[in-house]
Amino acid sequence: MQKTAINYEKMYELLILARKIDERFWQLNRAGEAPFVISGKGHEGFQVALAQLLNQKIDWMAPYYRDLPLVLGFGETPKSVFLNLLSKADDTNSGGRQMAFHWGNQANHILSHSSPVTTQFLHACGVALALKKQGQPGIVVTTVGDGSTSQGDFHEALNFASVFNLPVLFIIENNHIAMSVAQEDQYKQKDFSGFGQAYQIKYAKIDGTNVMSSYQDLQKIIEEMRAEPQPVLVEADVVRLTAHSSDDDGSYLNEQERNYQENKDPVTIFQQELLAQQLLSQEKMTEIEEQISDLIDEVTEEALAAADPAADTLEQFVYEEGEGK
Amino acid sequence: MKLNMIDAIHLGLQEELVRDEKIYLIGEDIGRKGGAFGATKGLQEQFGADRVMDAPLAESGIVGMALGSAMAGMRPVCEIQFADFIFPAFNQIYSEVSKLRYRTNNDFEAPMVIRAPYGGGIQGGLYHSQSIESFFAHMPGLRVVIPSGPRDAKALLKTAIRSNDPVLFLEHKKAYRSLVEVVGDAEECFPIDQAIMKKQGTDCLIITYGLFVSKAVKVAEKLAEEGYSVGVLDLVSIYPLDQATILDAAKASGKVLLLSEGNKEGNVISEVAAVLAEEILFELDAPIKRLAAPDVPAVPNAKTLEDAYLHFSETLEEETRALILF
Amino acid sequence: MSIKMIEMPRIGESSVEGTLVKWLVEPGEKIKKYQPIAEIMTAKVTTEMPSMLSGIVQEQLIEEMATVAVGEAILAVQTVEKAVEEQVVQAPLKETISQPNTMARLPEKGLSPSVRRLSKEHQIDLTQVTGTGIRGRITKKDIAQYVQNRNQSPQPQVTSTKKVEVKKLIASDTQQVIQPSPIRLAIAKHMEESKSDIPHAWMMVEADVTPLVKRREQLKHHFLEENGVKLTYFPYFVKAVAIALKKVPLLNASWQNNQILQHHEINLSIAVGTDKALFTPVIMHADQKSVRDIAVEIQQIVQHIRAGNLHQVQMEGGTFTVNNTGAFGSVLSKGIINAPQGGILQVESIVKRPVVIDDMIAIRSMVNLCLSFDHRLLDGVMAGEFLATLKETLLQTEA
Repeated sequence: MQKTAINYEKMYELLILARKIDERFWQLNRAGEAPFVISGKGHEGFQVALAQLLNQKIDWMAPYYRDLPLVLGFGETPKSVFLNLLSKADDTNSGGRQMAFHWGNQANHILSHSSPVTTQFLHACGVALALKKQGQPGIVVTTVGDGSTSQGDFHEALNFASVFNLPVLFIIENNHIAMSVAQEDQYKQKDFSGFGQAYQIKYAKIDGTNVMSSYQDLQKIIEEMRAEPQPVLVEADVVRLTAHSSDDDGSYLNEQERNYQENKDPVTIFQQELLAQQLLSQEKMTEIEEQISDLIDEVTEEALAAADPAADTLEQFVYEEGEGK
Repeated sequence: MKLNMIDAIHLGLQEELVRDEKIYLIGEDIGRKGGAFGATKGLQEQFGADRVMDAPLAESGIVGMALGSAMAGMRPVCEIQFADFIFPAFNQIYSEVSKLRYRTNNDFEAPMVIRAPYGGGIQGGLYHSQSIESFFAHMPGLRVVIPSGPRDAKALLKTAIRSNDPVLFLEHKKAYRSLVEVVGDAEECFPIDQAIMKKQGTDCLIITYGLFVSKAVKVAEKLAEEGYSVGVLDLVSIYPLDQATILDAAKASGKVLLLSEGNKEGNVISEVAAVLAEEILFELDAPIKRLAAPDVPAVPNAKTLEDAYLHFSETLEEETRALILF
Repeated sequence: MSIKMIEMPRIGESSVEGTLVKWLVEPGEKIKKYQPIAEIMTAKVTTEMPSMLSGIVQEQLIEEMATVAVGEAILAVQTVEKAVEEQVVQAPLKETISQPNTMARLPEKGLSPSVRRLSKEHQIDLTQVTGTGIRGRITKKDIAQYVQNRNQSPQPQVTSTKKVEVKKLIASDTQQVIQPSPIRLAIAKHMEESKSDIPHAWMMVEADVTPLVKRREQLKHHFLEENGVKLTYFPYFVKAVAIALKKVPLLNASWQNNQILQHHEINLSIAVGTDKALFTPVIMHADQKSVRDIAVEIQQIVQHIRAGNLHQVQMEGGTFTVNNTGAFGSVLSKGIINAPQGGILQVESIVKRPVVIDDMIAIRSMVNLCLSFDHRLLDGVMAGEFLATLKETLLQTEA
């Protein structure tokens, strides 16, 4: 793939879009309009960078529920994520069948996933296997939270990818808290480098709150994977700036955890670096933010007014129907 | 060509691998060894390690990876070495495979087959003898198909592989080598959603599936010598049930005996009984009879205990006669 | 401009109520869409709640720290939005889900396995059994009823103290043996039980119903026009009995197992005869119904009986019986109490008679009211009081 100049403006747009959509989602939840929100706030940094480095035509993605920025950078539109939030008929992920934030859109090369965690790690291996068998280029990116590293499917996937040498970029979005259970009660390693060694695959740790450094680190990794198809395990250090979900208030977090999280906001970090390195002006940033705010207001209204799924579609698509898809 | 069931399955897999390059096989010991029962013997040599893959020993991994590849255009056929070992993959089958089409509103589909040998009577003990079908007969989106003999096995397996819905294909391991019959050609495909009337009868109907179909036919033939007309219906599709055929067949005599090797309580045949009671109570002429295994955890290893476990199936003839005379 | 309500939102998969911790906006304040308006607390979270409306706060509908159900209005807002914005596309649930036609699936006259067995066991000719199931299906209960009737008809001594010889009757040139219908047999049995179990006492009064007759005369044409039902005297008596029973409740009771069961509801059985049978449908809560209501209800019951579709439940729950014997021209009769009730009132024919009022002779419309009552329940004093009350009630009917 030809190396192109880094588009900071585009990354800033995606970052702000994801952040502002997230904030509107919470407002809709608190106003009783949206039943459930689970946030990627604090996870956006590396996701924004990663989205720029992938090629949607050949690459695939098996995301999880904190990946709003990633799917927005991989073909999902503001409208589509709002329709998903509100379980509307035209929700491209599931037509209102799945809980919000459960992605999946074949046209965008985004795999469908469920709520029991980590199953998508194996699906990513399967897609990579298919690409390999079909002689197609492309890599598969899949993500989980740090809590998922205890699941059997996590280990089976790393082992399968290693054994079959599958081009899967496994990313652990480590926000150091699995819902409410602290890191030290989840695992005893200081980081996940041991897994790389155990399964004989490359491992890298990146600062997932920093768009710029993430971009550089991931660029190197992805270039290597394209040159020589292979699995890689990346631990992206991120923060969770919200409670686990809208059904949780995060009251169990202690002062130290709270302060740590709040000091690492990817938006603030990126803004400071862009200004310091004079890559984007304050005026431009403000302009982008205002445009996005207006866009979100517009999309919110459209989505709220959109049709709900018709009740008589309940029994559709359990099995193949008629002439098939 | 006369074949036993394992060879018929082998031939079916071979024919399909030739027909469609998207099909590949994956499972434990299916490559170099050719499978624990020989269903894939020589296929790796013929098609290469890419098409006939030995997988690491992890069932969830096998099914989960197969599903991922199916989402990206492949048509995997997984082998679970023994049905007893399928449970690590239960979540992948239940939460992922069976729900994929529904949860994506028809955007994705999972054209895949999971083959697994099941059943007892071979002194396989608790974990090489189980009938696990009832666990999977409660998953809309998944099809559960069980063939009753070599010809059906091949013709049903081919349809399962060509189907765009996921199919759990269960093969009774005692039927692998004990049943021999002429099988169809490379294009013989039977519908996987239809029960098969193996024998017509007007005095009583035995409804069963898998290995017990041949047993039921034998009992029916024996009773024919006594002047009784016993029908035998092979369910074929354990889930979803072919209710129309079941009801039609049961109406003929109004006397139905259901036979299964699984534990009696919560068995798939109980669902058949419920359908009959709900839909055609007024056509019935006798209480619905279920013959199934006792409610103990699984088939014990010792011969005496295994025989005791399977004793219910030995009573088929007298129970059928009793029902006819009822 | 219009006033819109903001409701307690559902936050969380399982929340059913929320507590308003603190108001963040005051009446008169201008608010914007998405602006936080209150701090709320649910079982799962404490959070600020944004408004989904822009406008001016009209009124806080609940106080701080009040807990209300999800969906309850908490804040009234005067909005400036156009009404069009409120259109929400909703898939109509009821219309789209087709209801399976259960009735159509039921077999025409299918005999259930249990009915088949029972009919065989009891050697029943099923053509003789009346089915009460859907489309006349014979149910297990029908068989049980049939068997009970059949067994009881020749052996009424089961509960009777009188010994009746069970003898097969033989027809002759001059005599024919008629097999009574099941319903005739049921009536016979019930009458026998009532008469033998209850020590009947009897009392009669003469009542002046001149005002009632006048009243009815005034109303009857108008009543027919308005209700499509003829206004007879009977509903007036039913209503009057109900009022009297309310005042003298001891008659609205049952003697059972040496105890008195006092009924709080006044449900009046009325006797309605046909050429073959006697039915005793019940006017429930007669004391709470108007004469008009009772008249209409009686008419409906009569129609049911004529059409042969009076339900068993319509004959259950009676606490006292009123019998319109006057309809046959009777002026005196002794009713048999409808067990286990405590009494029956026979309303005889209304006849014009010269009577002495204040030492003067007047022509008045008079009626005999004949009461049979269970002497175990009460004595003549209370029965007399009941009849006096009834008389007074009838006399007070406004002309």
